[in-house]
Amino acid sequence: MAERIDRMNLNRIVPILNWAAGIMILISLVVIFFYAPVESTMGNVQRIFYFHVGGAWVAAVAFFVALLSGVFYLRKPAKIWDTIAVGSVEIGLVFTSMTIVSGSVWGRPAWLTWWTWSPRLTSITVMWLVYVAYFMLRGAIEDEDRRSRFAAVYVIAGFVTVIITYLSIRLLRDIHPVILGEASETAQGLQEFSGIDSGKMVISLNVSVLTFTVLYLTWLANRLRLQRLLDDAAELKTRVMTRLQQQ
Amino acid sequence: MTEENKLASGNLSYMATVRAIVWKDLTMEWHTGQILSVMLVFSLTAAIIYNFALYGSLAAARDASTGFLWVTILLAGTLGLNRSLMAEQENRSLEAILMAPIDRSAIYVGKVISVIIFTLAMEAILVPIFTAFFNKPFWRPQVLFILILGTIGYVAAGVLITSMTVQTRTREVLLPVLLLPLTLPVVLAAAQVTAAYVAAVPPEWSEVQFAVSLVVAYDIFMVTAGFLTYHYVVEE
Amino acid sequence: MMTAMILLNVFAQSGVVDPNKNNGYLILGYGVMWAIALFYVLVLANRQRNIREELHLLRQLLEEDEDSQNK
Repeated sequence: MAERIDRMNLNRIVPILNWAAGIMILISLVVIFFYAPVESTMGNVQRIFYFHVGGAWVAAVAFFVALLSGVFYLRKPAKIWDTIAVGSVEIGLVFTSMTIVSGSVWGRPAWLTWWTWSPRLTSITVMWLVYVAYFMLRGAIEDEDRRSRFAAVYVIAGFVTVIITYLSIRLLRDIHPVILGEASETAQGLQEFSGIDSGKMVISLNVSVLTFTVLYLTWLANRLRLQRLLDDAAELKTRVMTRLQQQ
Repeated sequence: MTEENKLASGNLSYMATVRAIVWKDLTMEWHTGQILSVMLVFSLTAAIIYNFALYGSLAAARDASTGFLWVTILLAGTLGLNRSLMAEQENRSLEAILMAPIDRSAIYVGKVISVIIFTLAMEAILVPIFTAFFNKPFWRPQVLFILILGTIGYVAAGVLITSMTVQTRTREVLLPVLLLPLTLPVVLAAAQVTAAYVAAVPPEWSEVQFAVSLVVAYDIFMVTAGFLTYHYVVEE
Repeated sequence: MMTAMILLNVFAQSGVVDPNKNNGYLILGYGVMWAIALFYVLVLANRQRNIREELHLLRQLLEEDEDSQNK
């Protein structure tokens, strides 16, 4: 499988994905602002929700892909798995940051505070920190194989923070609303907004999630191509060095 | 035969390997006292600092005491982990063990058990001290229970991560950066449960249920992750 | 305290709510979200540009070297 991914013609795939992502973003913005209904207790600011949730969901997917890549790398080392892991963690961090920041801005009018150390916000911050630390681990190891190996072990262990974050969102009574599933758990005035089972909101949410998924794949493809260029450059550099040494 | 010779001979079963590693660590600690001394000096100094940091307000100090306890365990734990696993590096005793055809996870289990013992020993000293300094009942059985549960998860993650960081250039500096965020979930949850049980009114089970389940789930996850991946951390 | 404030808010708002009241936050929220995304895009594009330049340079170096060796 590693060889098949390696051989993919990224130079053709990347531009296609770039266009697809751009179009999807435009479509989703139209859907969110013109198709989705106005929420009755919060008004238009609730529209942040669509990308907030989309980002959170795709971040989890990205970190899961990183975990899978780590497992594949450990079973049979191939550079492509390491690259997919690095790319996925980078992109996962971007989406997580987007989620945290958008949630904070939305929280200000909704709960009258920019931040609170509730279990869910705490756990997503911890998740963010764990994956930032991933890059410190990589930076501290010079040997390529060891770096990839340790990084793989780390993304596997670190995934516990993803599980905890998403579990706490679903299971805990918290200022942060439960969106899907039983509404009875956190129904408390502003914390649960009305009409989420309204079909239009669900469709808009799905469109956002799809958009972010395409965006993830696009960024990943770009990152893979970048790595290929970096590898080519490294190879050329060694050739130049050997030439210089011969002279 | 010394434990190391026994291990290197390759004649040991899995459980015997684990026991040999634990025994080796315990006897070495009995003779040198490196690990416990570092952990204790740090944690006792920290306890005194906390006491004086909130000297002005006794109530604030008592409220913060649970947090202090767990922060101390967290930080002293990194010291202990570093000492324990660097001792392997320095003595090259790990190389001798690795030459034998033992499943690498046995090394992981052995190290986790021995570090848990050291950390619990330190906690056994901290509990009466904290109870005395802050006048809170840290000796309650539920508190002791959650201390043990939390320590298991912390050490399980700690041995795995430390085994990686001792092989890097930046070692002691890198360990807290990697270990603290990763262990925050279990430490925060355990601290919450501790705080609930040292309060004047003991909590209902439903209040602490989620946090305790989280600690247990974390423990299971980390031990499993460490068990399965340790091979890739020590093998070259 | 928080709960009381929120419940009070709800009662005060039951019925008529101006949907555009918090539009400033809406724009701010979208703004920072996409600013972060844009930041990553720029970082990727920048790295790509740099590495392409480097590759071009390296290839040129090797070509010149080949030429001078063939002569």
